[in-house]
Amino acid sequence: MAAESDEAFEKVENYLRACRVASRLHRARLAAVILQRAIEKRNAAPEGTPSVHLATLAIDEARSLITQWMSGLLPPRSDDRPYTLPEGYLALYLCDAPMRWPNAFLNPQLSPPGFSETLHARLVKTGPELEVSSMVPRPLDRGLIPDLADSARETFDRFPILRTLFLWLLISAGLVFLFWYTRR
Amino acid sequence: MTNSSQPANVVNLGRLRHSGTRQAFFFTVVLTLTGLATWVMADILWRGGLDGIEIAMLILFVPLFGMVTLGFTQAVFGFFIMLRRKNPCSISRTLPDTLPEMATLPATAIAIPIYNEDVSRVYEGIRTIYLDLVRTGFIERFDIFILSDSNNPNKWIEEEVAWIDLCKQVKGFGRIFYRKRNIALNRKSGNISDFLRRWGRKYRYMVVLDADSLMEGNTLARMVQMMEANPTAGIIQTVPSPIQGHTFFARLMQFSGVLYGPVFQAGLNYWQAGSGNFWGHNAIIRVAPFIDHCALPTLRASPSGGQNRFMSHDYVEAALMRRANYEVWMAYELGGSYENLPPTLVDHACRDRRWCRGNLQHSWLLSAKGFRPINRLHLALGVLSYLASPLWFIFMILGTVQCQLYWAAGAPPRFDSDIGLSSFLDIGGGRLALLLFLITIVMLTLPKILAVLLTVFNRERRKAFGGAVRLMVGLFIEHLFSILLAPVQMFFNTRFVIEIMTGSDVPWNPQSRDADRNVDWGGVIRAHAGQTAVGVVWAMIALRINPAFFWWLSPVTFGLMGSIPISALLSMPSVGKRLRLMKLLIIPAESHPPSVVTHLEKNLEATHRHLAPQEWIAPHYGLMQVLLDPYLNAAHGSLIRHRRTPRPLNRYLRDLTDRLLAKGPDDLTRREQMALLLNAQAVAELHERIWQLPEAQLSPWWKLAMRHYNILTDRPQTALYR
Repeated sequence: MAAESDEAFEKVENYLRACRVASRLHRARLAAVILQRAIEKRNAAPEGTPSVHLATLAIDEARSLITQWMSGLLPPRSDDRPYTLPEGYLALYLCDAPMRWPNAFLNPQLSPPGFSETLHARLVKTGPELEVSSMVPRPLDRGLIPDLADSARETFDRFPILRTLFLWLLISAGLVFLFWYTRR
Repeated sequence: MTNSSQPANVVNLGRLRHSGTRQAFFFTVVLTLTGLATWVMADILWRGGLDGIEIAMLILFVPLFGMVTLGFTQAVFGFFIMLRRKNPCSISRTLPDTLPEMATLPATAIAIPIYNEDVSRVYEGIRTIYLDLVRTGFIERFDIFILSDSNNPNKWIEEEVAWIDLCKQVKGFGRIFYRKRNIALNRKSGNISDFLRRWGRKYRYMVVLDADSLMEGNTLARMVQMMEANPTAGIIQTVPSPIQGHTFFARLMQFSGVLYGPVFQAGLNYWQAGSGNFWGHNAIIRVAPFIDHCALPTLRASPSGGQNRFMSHDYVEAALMRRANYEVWMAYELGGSYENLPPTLVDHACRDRRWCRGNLQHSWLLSAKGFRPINRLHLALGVLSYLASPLWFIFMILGTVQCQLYWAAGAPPRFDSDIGLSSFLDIGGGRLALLLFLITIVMLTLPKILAVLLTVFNRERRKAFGGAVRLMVGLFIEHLFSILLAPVQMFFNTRFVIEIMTGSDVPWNPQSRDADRNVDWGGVIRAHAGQTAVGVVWAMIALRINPAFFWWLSPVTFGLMGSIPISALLSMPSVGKRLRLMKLLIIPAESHPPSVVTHLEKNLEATHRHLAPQEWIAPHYGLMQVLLDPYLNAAHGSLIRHRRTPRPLNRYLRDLTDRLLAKGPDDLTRREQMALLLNAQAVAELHERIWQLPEAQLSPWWKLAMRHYNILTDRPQTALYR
């Protein structure tokens, strides 16, 4: 049990570090709270429920706490759809929240001035609204010689023996030329 | 020529746009000079008739000397144009001296296609351009698009993170956009076409930049202003000035480019005028005709059933633009346009290999219907610029064989007979050969001397090159190395042409722009071993034929024999730094750096001071970041295409995720990693599972990664924070 708790504690602490909670004290405090809640949840589970590793429960707990905390910070949507965790993370990331308000993470009591306002998530777009154009190549007549060369190449590709014969012909012609040239 | 509605200093190019007379005059000079030299060559060879080798040599001499004459004539014409100070046929002269009003400029996109590039350099370049546009007040009219085709997971994630960071830092959301293609179809031209299909109609103009391009805000505004003033212009190409040359090689290249370039460019502009060429970057394009006329067709069907695409699209796009009756200009007098150069000779050769294949492909288009003769000439010159190397190589081999035959027959007999020109000019055949050699040397060196004269007699420019003495020393160093490097480059290009003609594939490798690495001796030896061997054998044969012939051939054989140490020396950043400290091979962008260059260098220096990822984690750093970091995971998920309703992963992706978790990233190929990263559902699930799973069910790699993540830095190590 102790080893499992240690592993879960370390996992949550690592996760919080990945969330860029830079303060060790704040991280340890949050990890302890999250772990405690995970243990309580496991103890409260009805008998016969399959056992889940404490680390898994603790990370789930951390993620659910963060979702709740972020939903409280972000302005309600017009269609009342709840915010997802990635949307919350994106909002935090875009306003550099972990750097600007290092102790505010997962701390409902601490809401520094401007924090909530700056969290208005921006949709990360890869470009402005599409305005689709058709860009279609026009036919290009390359002329007679390339076409002839192409058909020769295609013939060679279809009958590789012809290519080999052509190569032999070239070599033979070269040898004949050399023979003639050295005996003039 | 001025129009009454235009400011007094603005020129209406009118008939000058069409350069028929100038082209006729220019090429008459080229043809006459080549013809005269061919006559002398024929006279030297034609003593008692021409044999087979001599006929072959004479035939090869014509295109080879023609290329020399073309460069020479261009430089001489350029010299006289520059002496007049104001070129009547310059697109820059269609503009008033004042900058445009911001409100008068139409919306313009700046498109930057990238492919596994150095992210720091790309984004710091974009930052510099963006901030300069803000400083000059033109930012409202420009949108910047980073168009990624990267297939390296690390690079892709680094690009995404760097984009968000940059936008946050400069408040660039809604102004700087990032788009990653899932399938990199048709390489760079496909990347640009994809952008145009999505957003092209929103913009009247598009400025295409390379990953290492840099442009000043005022230059961008001037380019748009130039397009507005010339409604028939389809493309205006600037001449990027090389910068940031840290190695000896890059310094040599940038010195020669900046010092000699202007005379050649002025001469080139003289004959091409509105029928210029497109170099693929640092140029502005009129979007509507480009969309309508410049989509590249397939070159031909390949034997494997695939389609053979253009590797070098720019010349073809210029030809297509001209076919649609739009002009293509070179704004060579417009400053504020910069680019980096390959840091080493081997990197330069790698780039040449790609360009070689692209240019040779153009031979299929020489007889294409509808192309203008001048565009056929551009294409033919591109082909010949690479074909000239094997032709020169064959010419030299034939010359060696011929010398062997001459001396084997007892001294060079034919040179002694006084016939033809020799008797007319009253000089021996040997002296006539020497005269032709000297004429060739003059034609190769005079352009450099003319360019130096223009610089020496211009006080400001002379000072910018470090003063007259340093300029002369630089000229000597550059000239010496250009002689040594000429046969090395000939050999490289000959090899490339043979490889391409025999069907060897040319991979699409990103260009190396990292100048600070140490010399890769293994790479240098592999690249130059063949050249060294050929040089040694050739020199021995020459010595055996005749010692005089050995010395005659020495500029070629010495360059080949010394290619390994020369290439290594040129690759050394320390030598480059020392030269810069001594103010040798210095260029104006170094002695009086423009603010954009200073900013870029300062920012790059800062990014390189930060920590690099640990060695064990570096190969999969991007993957680790996006799967461990909740913020980056969310950001990445928002940037890739989502299904409206998430579906369970298919068996292939499920298998990949299981392997990634249980065996670590080393177990997956790059392609498999990309498949996972392209699926938003897989990325979200992996993030969740990595954190949820107990350690016993994860590979040791993930355990370590989780323990080390954000230990040393409280923010991810991206290009901007590295």
